Amino acid sequence: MRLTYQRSGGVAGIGKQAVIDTAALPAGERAAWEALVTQADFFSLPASLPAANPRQRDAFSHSLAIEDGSRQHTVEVQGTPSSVPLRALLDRLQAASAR
Amino acid sequence: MKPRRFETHFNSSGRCAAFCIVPPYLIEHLLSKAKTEDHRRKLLASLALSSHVRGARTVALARKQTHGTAQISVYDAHQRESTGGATLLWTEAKPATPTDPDVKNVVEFTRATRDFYKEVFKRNSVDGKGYNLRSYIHFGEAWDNAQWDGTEMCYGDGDGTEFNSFTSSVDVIGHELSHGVTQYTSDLDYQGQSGALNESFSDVMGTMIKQYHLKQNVAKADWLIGQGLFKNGEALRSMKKPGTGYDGDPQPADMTHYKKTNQDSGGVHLNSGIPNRAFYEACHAFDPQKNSWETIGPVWYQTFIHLPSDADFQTAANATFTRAKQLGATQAHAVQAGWAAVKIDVKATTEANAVT
Repeated sequence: MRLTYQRSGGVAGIGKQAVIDTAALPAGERAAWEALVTQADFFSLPASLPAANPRQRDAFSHSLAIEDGSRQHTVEVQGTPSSVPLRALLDRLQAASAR
Repeated sequence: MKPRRFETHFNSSGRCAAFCIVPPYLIEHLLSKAKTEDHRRKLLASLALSSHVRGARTVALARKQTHGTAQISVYDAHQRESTGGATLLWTEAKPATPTDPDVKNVVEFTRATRDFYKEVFKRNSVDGKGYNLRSYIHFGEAWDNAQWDGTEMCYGDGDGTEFNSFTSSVDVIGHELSHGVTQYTSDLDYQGQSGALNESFSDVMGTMIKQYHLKQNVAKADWLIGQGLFKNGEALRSMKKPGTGYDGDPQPADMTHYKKTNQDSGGVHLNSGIPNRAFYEACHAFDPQKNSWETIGPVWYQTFIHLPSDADFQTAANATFTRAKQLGATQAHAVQAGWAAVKIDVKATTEANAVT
């Protein structure tokens, strides 16, 4: 499984990105990423998730593309998503990201 | 039969003085039986309040007591990326000396913002009607951000390695509250050029709030946004020299370098550097020894709060120029020079088309 993540926006406007290839990771870490993706039900999410509150300003924007075997899906998320499992996946990706 | 027993719970403001004593279902029932318009209005006010209290019990008391008086309160979000479950740390209703450095910053800088709008532009808080100013600190875990969430302000602690706390800069707090001002005025669309104008208005007001707070004229001010937020690095943005805020700052400094992107709502934090610099250059062209809030600041404020929500840079340039011309030739020349520095030629709009 390959995750390509980009974060933009925020008051600082500083972009961050991460590319995670789970095949290159130890088994425990690979399982952790796969569990996060499954729990977020990523491949069933719509391509665009608008902000839960459209009046938010300086919120982060997230773009996540995942390839898993024959499956491929990209989701754009504005602001903090209301889905708790998706938030957990994005939190983990942000922690793994760099400028 | 008149429900006299329940009327004693309503005070002179029409609110239920004892909060949840009258349950909402009972108020709804009474509403259907209300005889007079006045009685109905009091019941409605109480119903609205009690549903509010049920939704946010921990903060309702402070909110009610400070309704519409531009009062400041600060809440602890307990590292959650949500305002639910937050607890009150400080309120102007019962002011105490803050001990938490983030509370101290938020109180001082929110006060500076409120004072600036009141004293310079005669504006009573973000909505012009005494909107209460609620801030949530310790928002999110190691959160590198500050935001206006449509109702209140949220400040992260920063990650502790690259960023300090996002409460540490007066212009960032002024920036967030100014998003509230935009929401209640022009409501500039948060996308592309109108979004970059929305961002720029927040930077322009934020930097003027800092200058007013420190009593600095155009030449003395640093024109930086978020100076001190980085552990290593100067600031988030430079309005005087966009693209030099920190090592790798991607902001363009003029229109020929405008960046088209799908990220960040079409580069709203990126291309805002262009109108930001136009403002700095206009202030400088007017008189570097004068104060921005007394020269070009009022031109920008009065123009921006009346812009159409889909305004682009050219619209803003023309409208600021038209307003400046009404004030005098020196102002008009300065505004023209400001936009010319970022490669935008102003065109005077006719009186009839002028944004007033």
